[in-house]
Amino acid sequence: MKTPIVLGFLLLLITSCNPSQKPDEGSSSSIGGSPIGPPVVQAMAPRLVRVMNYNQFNMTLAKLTGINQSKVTSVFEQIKGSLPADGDIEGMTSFNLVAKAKLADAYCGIYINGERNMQGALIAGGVPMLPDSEIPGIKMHLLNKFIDYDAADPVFESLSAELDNVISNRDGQGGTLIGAALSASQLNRNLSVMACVAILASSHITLLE
Amino acid sequence: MKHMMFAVMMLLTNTLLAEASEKTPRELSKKLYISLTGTQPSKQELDYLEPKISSGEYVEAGRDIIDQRPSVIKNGVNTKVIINGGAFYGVTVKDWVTPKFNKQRTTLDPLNDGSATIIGFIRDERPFNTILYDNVVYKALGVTFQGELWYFDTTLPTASVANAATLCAGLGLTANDYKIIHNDPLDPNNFTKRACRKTKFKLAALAAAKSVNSLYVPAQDLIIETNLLSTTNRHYENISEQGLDLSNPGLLVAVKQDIKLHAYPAAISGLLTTRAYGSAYFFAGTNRAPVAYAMEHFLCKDMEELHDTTIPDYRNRRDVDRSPGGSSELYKNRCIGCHAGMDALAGAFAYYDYTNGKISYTPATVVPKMNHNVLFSAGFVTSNDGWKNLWNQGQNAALGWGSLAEGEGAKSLGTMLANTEAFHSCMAKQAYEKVCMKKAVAKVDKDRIARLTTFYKSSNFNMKRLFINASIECLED
Repeated sequence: MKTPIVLGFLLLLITSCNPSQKPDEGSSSSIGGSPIGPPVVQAMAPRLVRVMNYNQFNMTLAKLTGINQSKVTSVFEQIKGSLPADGDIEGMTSFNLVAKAKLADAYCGIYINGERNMQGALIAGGVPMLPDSEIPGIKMHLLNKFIDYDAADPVFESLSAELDNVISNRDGQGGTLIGAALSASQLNRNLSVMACVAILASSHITLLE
Repeated sequence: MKHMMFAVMMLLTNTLLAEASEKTPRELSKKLYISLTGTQPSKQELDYLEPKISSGEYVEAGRDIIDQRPSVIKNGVNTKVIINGGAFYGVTVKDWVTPKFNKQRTTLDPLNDGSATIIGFIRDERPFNTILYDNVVYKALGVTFQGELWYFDTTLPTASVANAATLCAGLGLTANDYKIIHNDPLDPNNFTKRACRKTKFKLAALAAAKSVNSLYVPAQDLIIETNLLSTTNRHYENISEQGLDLSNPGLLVAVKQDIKLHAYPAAISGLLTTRAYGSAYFFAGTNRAPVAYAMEHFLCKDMEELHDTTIPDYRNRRDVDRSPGGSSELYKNRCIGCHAGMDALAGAFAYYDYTNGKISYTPATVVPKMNHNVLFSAGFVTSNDGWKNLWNQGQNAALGWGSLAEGEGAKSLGTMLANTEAFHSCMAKQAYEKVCMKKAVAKVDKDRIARLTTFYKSSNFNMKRLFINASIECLED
């Protein structure tokens, strides 16, 4: 599972732009929030771009994947202190990013490959949560499930292109992401986990605005 | 009249937002969702919320997000449209309240009896101005394994529990189902109100739970590690570990503190006498911490802001050096500023301590730490739990104290604090800063908080509504 983490980390950096940030946003309020008077434009400090803290991120992943937080408790407790304690984007460190990718990997591993025991064998009925029939269309499955995806919105172009690379086992430099000899089925599932991590650890999910 | 004003304000809020917004309804839906839950909405959730926002139903949309409603019938199954695991309570509110129960102000701590009680108050829309003195603590609703429930494998012995077969009949249980017969969690000593249910747990797990007298929650068929509250936080930690939905009214319920936490009714004072508050502020020290941190967390005033050297110092205790470093000027210009007001209030906690993982309360006996370290023998000696508010004069009179200015014990102190103007505006400020994700420093922020404070008071101190309205206030920022 190290490869998905590394790749997720790289993709997170690639896609870490703020997808909908506009430079002039936040400098005024067109509604002023007034419940009892007309809207008034007033000078105010801009709303800061925030990143999810550890609790928000964990709950978001649980909610989007439909996996109870207790299934990843051991990973979460191990890295909780490395995830952002508050939402201050200026306090973000590389440790935070790696921890986010690692937690996303824990959820994605269960989501794509099913819950497994310490030896890697399937438990809880022995069936992956995602059936084989979903794997060929995994990109759209993940995009539609995890984010409010709109193919016409250019905000999603780079993410979509990166996912195409991952799912096609391309590293973007003429090589492959996974070179080990795996069955086609397991290769596709592993690539799907990587794609899943790439989305869940991306700024499309982790930024709060 | 109050309710009419409240309704008009809400109507105007919705109308103005609908007319004046520059963001699309979908963008506003997403922002409202993130503000309240700290999590990302799904496409399906946005599809549901967008028309509501378009038609100006902001408050309704906020309620739907918080309470995960409505439910619809999908493929014959009752399915929720909004599914976020109770993130408003488990993330937003929990992150807000957790720093109130530790001196490090960290959000990383697990759930505890104090944070669970705040979550319960907000979920049930109880008047929040009672939270510092009400006889309430929230805990999981269940029955214990010793004497309140019986479990069975594939057979139902008729001898062990009266009417076992009758109780389990008609529930559609198969012969292979594991079953639990339990007393009513709300009336556990009444054997006439027993019920039967199917359980997912097998005999080994049930036997293990019985061996340590765990708590079984029938409404959700789950086991909480322990039902003890006064000596351990495991009850709440286990709820956190299991990732349970705190918005579920079948999980956390209000019980009286004298059942689970305290032997003496006089010891009870809402949040101030929860185990979490005691472990943070009654442990060691001089029992000034419960006052200082209450001022910070519930009145938004730290000691620096309260500092006032014009207050008479006749309640300053003997452990306050009157000439620190040989300088009586330092005492008069610095030390008095905090101690004069704080020491006069801290008498309320004269009978409390926190030892061996538990709050101790010794009625009519002042704990030694209130009078130790004698540096000035003519200082005030605490002889009972009387307290006096000396901050209702001078600069701190602006906190809006009520008529209560002195009393005995924590309950009367909590009553006074929770009914100050400062408490109300502090709750509005904290709710605003939490869901708007910024410090309220600009004039527009302060104006909004003033409006929210007025609204909060007119809503019978409804914190859930306060959070919703606060998030609506800053939707366009």
